[in-house]
Amino acid sequence: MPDSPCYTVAVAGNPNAGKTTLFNMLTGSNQTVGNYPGVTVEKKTGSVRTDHCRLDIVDLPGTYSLTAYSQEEVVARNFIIDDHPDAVVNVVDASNLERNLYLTLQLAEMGVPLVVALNMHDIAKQRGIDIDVRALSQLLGVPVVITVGHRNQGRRELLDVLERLFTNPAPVRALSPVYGPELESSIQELASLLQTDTSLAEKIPPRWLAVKLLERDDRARNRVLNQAAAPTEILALAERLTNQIERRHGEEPAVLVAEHRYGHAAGVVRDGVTFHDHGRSLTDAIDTIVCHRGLGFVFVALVVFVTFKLTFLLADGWSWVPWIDGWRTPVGVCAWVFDEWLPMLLAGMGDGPLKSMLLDGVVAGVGGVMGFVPLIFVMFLMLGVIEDSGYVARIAFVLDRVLRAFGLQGKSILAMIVSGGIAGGCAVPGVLATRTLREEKDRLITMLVVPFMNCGAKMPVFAVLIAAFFSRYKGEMLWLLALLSWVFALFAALILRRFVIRGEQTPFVMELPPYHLPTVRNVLLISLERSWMYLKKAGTVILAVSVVLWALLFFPRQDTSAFDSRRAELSEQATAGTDVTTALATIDHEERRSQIEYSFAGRFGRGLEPVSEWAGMTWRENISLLGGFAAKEVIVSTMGMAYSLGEVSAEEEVGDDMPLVTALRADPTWNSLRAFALIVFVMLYAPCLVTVAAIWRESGSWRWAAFSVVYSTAIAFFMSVVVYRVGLLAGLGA
Amino acid sequence: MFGAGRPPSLNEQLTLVMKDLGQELLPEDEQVAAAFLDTEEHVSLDDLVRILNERGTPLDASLVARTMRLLCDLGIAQQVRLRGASFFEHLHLDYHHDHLVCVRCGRIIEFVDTAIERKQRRVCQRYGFTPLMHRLEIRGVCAECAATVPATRPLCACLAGETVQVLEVLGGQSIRQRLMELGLTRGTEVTVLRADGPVTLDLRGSRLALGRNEAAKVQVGPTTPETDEEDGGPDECRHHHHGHHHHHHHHDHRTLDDAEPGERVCIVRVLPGGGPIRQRLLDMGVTRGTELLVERKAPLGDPVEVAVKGCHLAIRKSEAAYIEIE
Repeated sequence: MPDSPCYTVAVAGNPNAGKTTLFNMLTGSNQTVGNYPGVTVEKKTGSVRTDHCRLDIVDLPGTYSLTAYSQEEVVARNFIIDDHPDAVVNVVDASNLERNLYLTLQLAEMGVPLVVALNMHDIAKQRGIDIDVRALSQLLGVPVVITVGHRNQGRRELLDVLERLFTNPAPVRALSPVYGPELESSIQELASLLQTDTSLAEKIPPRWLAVKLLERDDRARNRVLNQAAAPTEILALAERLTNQIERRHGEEPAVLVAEHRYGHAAGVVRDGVTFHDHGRSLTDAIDTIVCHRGLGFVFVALVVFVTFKLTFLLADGWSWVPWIDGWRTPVGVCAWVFDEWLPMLLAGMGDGPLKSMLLDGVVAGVGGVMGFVPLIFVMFLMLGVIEDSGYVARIAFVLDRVLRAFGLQGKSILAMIVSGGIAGGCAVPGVLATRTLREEKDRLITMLVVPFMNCGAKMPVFAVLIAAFFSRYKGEMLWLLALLSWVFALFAALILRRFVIRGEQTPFVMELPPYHLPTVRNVLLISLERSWMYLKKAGTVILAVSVVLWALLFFPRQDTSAFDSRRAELSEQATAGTDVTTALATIDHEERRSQIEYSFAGRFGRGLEPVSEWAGMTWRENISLLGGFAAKEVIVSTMGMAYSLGEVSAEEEVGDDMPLVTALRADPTWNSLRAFALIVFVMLYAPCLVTVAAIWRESGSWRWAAFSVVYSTAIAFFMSVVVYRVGLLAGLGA
Repeated sequence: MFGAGRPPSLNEQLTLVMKDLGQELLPEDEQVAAAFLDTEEHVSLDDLVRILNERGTPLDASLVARTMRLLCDLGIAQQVRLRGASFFEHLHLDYHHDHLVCVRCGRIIEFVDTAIERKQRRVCQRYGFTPLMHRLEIRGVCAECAATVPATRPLCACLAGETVQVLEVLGGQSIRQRLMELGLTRGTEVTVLRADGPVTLDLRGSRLALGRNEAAKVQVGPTTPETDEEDGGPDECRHHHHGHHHHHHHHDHRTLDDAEPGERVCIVRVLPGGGPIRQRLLDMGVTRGTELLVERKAPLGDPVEVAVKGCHLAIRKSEAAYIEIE
C-alpha cells in the first residue's frame, strides 16, 4: 500500500529496560543508525508495516528522567517537543516499576499519546512480582501492553494498540501527579501566564513548561527566551514563585517535584502490583562474589583474560577441536581467499601497472583487512555478551576508585572497553561512547586516551608480529599488550588531568542493572553492525588508501636499463650452460628493492630513517605507519606490500596464514626487540583519521583533534625509543 | 470537622503549628496573619490589602493571597463564597456546605440531599437552635481522579484535605514506636491538613505535624465507609500536641558515606551544594523519606552500592557525603 498513512513512533525508556530489544523486536533488521542533528547522540530509526499503515520508529536514547542532566535527556526531550511523534512507546522494566514509572509520569506530563510497554514481564514474574495490568493502565490513564522483547511476545498487541491509537485518536489527557497545594498554585499561576502566549503554548504544553521553569531548568528557560513573546515577564514570575517556594520549604522546587513524582509512582506500584516473594535475587548472589572486596579485581581480570582466550580460540585456534583436524579456521579461510585464490585468478593477466595495482594494491590491501573479519566478529560477539549481561557496570563499579586516581571515572571504562580495552573494539565508537560522561573535562580526557587502547585495527599488526616472533606465547602476549595499553592510557589520563585539562571531577551515580542472559539476537545484531562498520571502512577508506599508497610505491618508475643489461648478460651465460636462476632472482630482488626506494614513499621513508632508527624502525615501517595514519588496518597491508615488493617472498608455507609472517621471520634484520618496539609505537601513535575526525566532532574543536595526533605520536616515539634502546643495552636485540 | 471547642486562640495555634512544622513564617506572612486574625468578620482579599495598608504595612495582593492560602492549608482560615465573592473567615466558626469538592482536580459538585437537610434541621431542633445559614462541603476525590490515583500510598503522597485511614506503619522498631505513640495506630482516620513539605494532620481532633520521613512510613488507604447512622452529638474538644520537633536535628544526622554495608537507613535529605549531582540523585530515586540499603562497597571501599526503590546504584563516597541519613 503505497498511500497508506505513515506515523512516527518514538521509543523511550530507562537504560537497561530492554529498549533496544524491543526496538529490534519491532523493526527486525530493518533499521538504520545515524545521529541526531547538532549533537552526537546516536539515533536509531527503523520502520514497520502493519495492515493499515507504516510506522517509522525512532529509538530515543535511554534516560532515567527528562531533566536536562545529560545530552541524552535533552535529545529525548527535544525530540518529543520539536518532532511531535504521533505516539511514544515507553518501555518499562516490569521488575523495577517504581523507578521506571518516574520517567513514564514525565512523558505523560508532556501530553503525548503514550503507550506503556511492560517489558521483561517474565523476569518480574520469576521474582514474584504480580502486576495488575488493567489497574496499572487505569491508574496511568494510558494503554499498557505486556511484552517480552527477547521472545517476540507482545509485538502484535503493541502494534494493534498503536494502530487503534492512530485510527481513532482520543484526546490526550495529560496526566500529571498533583504536586501539592503550594506548588500546584504556583504551577497554575505560571501555566496560565504561559497559556496567554498562544504561539508558545502551541509548541510546548504550558503546564509542563511551568513545572520545568520552577525546577530551574536551563534549557526550558532558554526555550522561553527564544520562543516566547514576553520572556522577561514569564521568567520574572517563575523566579519569584521559585524563590517563594524555596524560602517556605527550605528546599528547591526541583526536589519537591521529584518527590511528588516518586510519591505518585510509589502509589501506582502499591495499588497495581503485588509482591509475593522477597527472596534474595540471583543478581544479588552473583554480585556478592563478583563485586567482592577481594575477589572483584580478580574477577575483572579473569573475565578480560577469558575473553581474549575465547576470541582467538573461536576464530583461529581450532586445533583444540579434534574432529576438524586439517580444516581451515575462519581466519585461515579468509587469508586463503586473499593470499592464494585471488592471486591465482589474477595470474592470467598480463604484467603491468594494472595487475600490480590489483594484486599489490587492492588484493593485498583489502585482503589484509578482510582476513581479520572473523576475529573481529568474534571479538564484538564477546564484547556484546559482556555489555548485554550487565557486567560492564560492575567493571565500572569495581574499577571506579582506581580510575579516579588517574583522573578518569568509572564510566570512562565503557569507552575504553569499546575502544579495545577488552579485545578488539574500535576507537571510533569508543570516542562516541564518551557521550555517557556528563562532564566535559572527563569526557575530553577519556576521548584523548581511548585511542591508546588496542582497537581491532591494531590487532592485525600485533597478530602478525606476534605470529612471527612470539608465536609460542600468543595468548600471553595479547594479555600483556592489553595490560600495556591500559597502563599507557591511564598514565596519559593522569598527565592530561594534571597538566592539560585541570578541574573538578564529575559526579558518579550509576545503576547496576540486574544481570540477565544476553539475548542471541541483540548480541548478533550488534556484532554484525559493528563488523559491518569495520568492513565498510575496509571497503572504502582502506581501499582508497591502499591504491594511493600503491601508487606512491609504484611511481615514479626508475630507470631499469642497468638491471636489463645485467639480465641480458646472465642470459648469455645461461646459453653457455651455467645455472643462473639464483642470480636472476637476486637481480629481480634488487630491482624491486631499488624501485621501492626510488618511489615517493621510499624517499619519504628514507628521509625519516635517521629519526626512526632510534626506535629500530626502517623506511619500510615508516611507510606503513604513514599509511596507518589513514587507517590502522593499512599498516599490515602496506608492510606486506613493502616486503613482497622489496623482497622475493619465500614459497608459501602450508598452514601459515600470512606470507608477511614468514617474510619477517626470514629477515635477519628483524628480531623480537624490534618487533616489540614497533608494537609499542603502533599501540600509541596518532589515532587513525576516522578517530581524529570523531574527536574533532565530539570535542567540538579541531585543536583537540590536532592535539590528539601530536601528543600521542610524541608519546609513541618516546616510548618505542625507550623500549628499543633499553632493550639493546640489555642485550635483547641480538 | 472542627467544632466549637475552646482551643487556644488561633494566633497561638498558628505559631504552634508552624513551630511543629519547623518552618519559617516569613515576616510578610506574620503581618497578613495578624491583620486577618484581628478581624472578626469575613474579609475579602481586597479588605485585607486595605487593612494592611491602613496598618502601615502595604503588601502585594498576590503575596497576601499566598499567605491566606497557607492559613487555609493550616486549617486556620477558611475560604467561603458569599454573595458571589470570595471571603476568608476564621475556621473555628461552625459551618455547613452542600458541596462535593475534589481535592485533586478542584472540581466542585453541587448536591442537595433532603435527608441531610432534614437531619440538620433535627439537630438544630434538638439544641433549640435557630439555623440561619448552613453549608456542607465534602472534600474528597472525584470518581475520575480516583480512577487515576492509587488508593494505597504513603501519607506523604496524600493531599491536603484528604481523609484517610492508617493501614500500616513501616520502618524500624523505634520509628514505629514513636509514630504509634503519636496515635498513628492501624485503623486510625486522619485528615491531611497540609501536605507539601512536612505533613500536618488532623488526628482525632488534634493537629499533628509529621516530617516527610515519618510520613513516608505511614501507609494509608481509603477510609471505610460508615454504614450505621451516627447521631451527631457535640464534637469533642480538640487537644493540641506540642513538642514534636522532628525537624531540629539536622546537624546530628550522618551522611551516607559513613554507613556500613548491610545497614538499612532512611534518607533525610540530599544536601544542596553538590551541583548537578543533586538532580541526578533525585532522578534515580534518592528522595527524602526513602529507605536505602547499603549493599556493599567496591574493592577499594569506594564507590558504595546501595539499593533504593528496588534498584541498585553505585555512588561515590564523595557524592554519598551529600546524602543525609538516619
